[in-house]
Parts: sequence; C-alpha cells; structure tokens
Amino acid sequence: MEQQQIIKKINYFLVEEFEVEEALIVPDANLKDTLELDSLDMVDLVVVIESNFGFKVNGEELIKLTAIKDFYDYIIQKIQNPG
Amino acid sequence: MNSIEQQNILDFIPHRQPMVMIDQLLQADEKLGKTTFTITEENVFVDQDGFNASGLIENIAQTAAAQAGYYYRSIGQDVPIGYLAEVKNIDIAQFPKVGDKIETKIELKTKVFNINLVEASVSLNQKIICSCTMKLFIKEEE
Repeated sequence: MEQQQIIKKINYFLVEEFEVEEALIVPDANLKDTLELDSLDMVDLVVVIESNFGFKVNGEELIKLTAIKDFYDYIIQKIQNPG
Repeated sequence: MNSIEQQNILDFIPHRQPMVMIDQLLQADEKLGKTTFTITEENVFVDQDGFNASGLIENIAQTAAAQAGYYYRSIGQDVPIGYLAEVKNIDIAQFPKVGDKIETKIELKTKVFNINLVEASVSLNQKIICSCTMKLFIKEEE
C-alpha cells in the first residue's frame, strides 16, 4: 500500500471513530489534542489500528507519539517493516 | 472445565448477595468467559419491564470478573481487582422476564495499559438480546 493510501485510510478512520473534522487532521497537529483522546480513547485507537491494518499495537509506543505525522510514520513503518 | 455453581462463583468475584448477577460459570479461559443467570422476582434490577439495562450491564461485568478470577486462580496468580470504566455500543433488543435464564458470553479483545476491552453478548433461548463493548480498569498490585 502506498503511503498516501495509508494516510487516506488513517484519516478516514480517525474521522469515523473520533468524530473529528477532517480539516483538523493535519501532520503538525497534536494527536491527542486533535482527537481529544483520554486514556479510554487510547484503547479505541489501538483497536481501530489493529482492525484496519492487522498488526499488534504496542501501547507504550503509541503513547509516545506526539504529532499526527508521528502517528502516520508509526503506522507506515509497521506496515512496511512488519515484525 | 466443569461448570461452577453460584456458591463457588463467590470465590472468583467480589460481589455478594443481593448483588450477585451470575449463577453458573460455564466456561473460562484466558480470553473467553460464559455464565448463566436465572432472573428471580426479588432481583434488585427487576422492574415493570423485567431485568433492566443496569442489571444486564452488571451481569456482563460479573461475567468478565468471574472469567478473570477463574483464569488467574488457574495459573496460580492473585485475582486483580477490576473496575467498570466504560460501556459502549450497547444494543438491547429485549429485557429478560422473571423466570428467564440468560447466557452471557464475554471475549477479551485487547489489553492496553491497565484497561481490558471486552466484547459481550447476552442470549435468551439462543437469541442475542443484548450486546456491548466494555472497558475494565484493572488495578495492579502495589
């Protein structure tokens, strides 16, 4: 899957799952602030990543991601370099 | 496993009468749990519509507690305390009536930090009458 396709898919599920306006999902925006994530929402984020991309998410890694572009890079890296 | 009756279920859950909402633990392993419960007239969650939504949620939460309790005991570990943190996507098609025997199934989908995400369904006469996802906060030993 091409990077742009992955990003498009990520944006789609973020809009659907977290009911955030697509215009707010920009690479430099803060991930947790933009999605208004609390600790319970982080569980939903893990589930939605695993169900959309099929890899196991490490919560400790996820919580370190700051910007949305970090989130994109994390998923792209996991897809392109599994294991 | 052989099914565990209510008297022994109390070894695996912290609840006590009149708040015990499961009768039998039919199945319990690392990820799955299944219980049965017969609704009685004196049940605190029975109102004019039958066994109400709060009762169904409590029944599901106790099924998750019993599954975890049985599993942790089976591997020789202390049973951690869990707290109901969130109920989501709840869909109730029917409230069980007095005398009905419900079967409740939970499946642990994922664990993130101290939170377990559980998918649950309650069946009556093999038809699903309630489903939801539930997040449980697991208190770690200090």
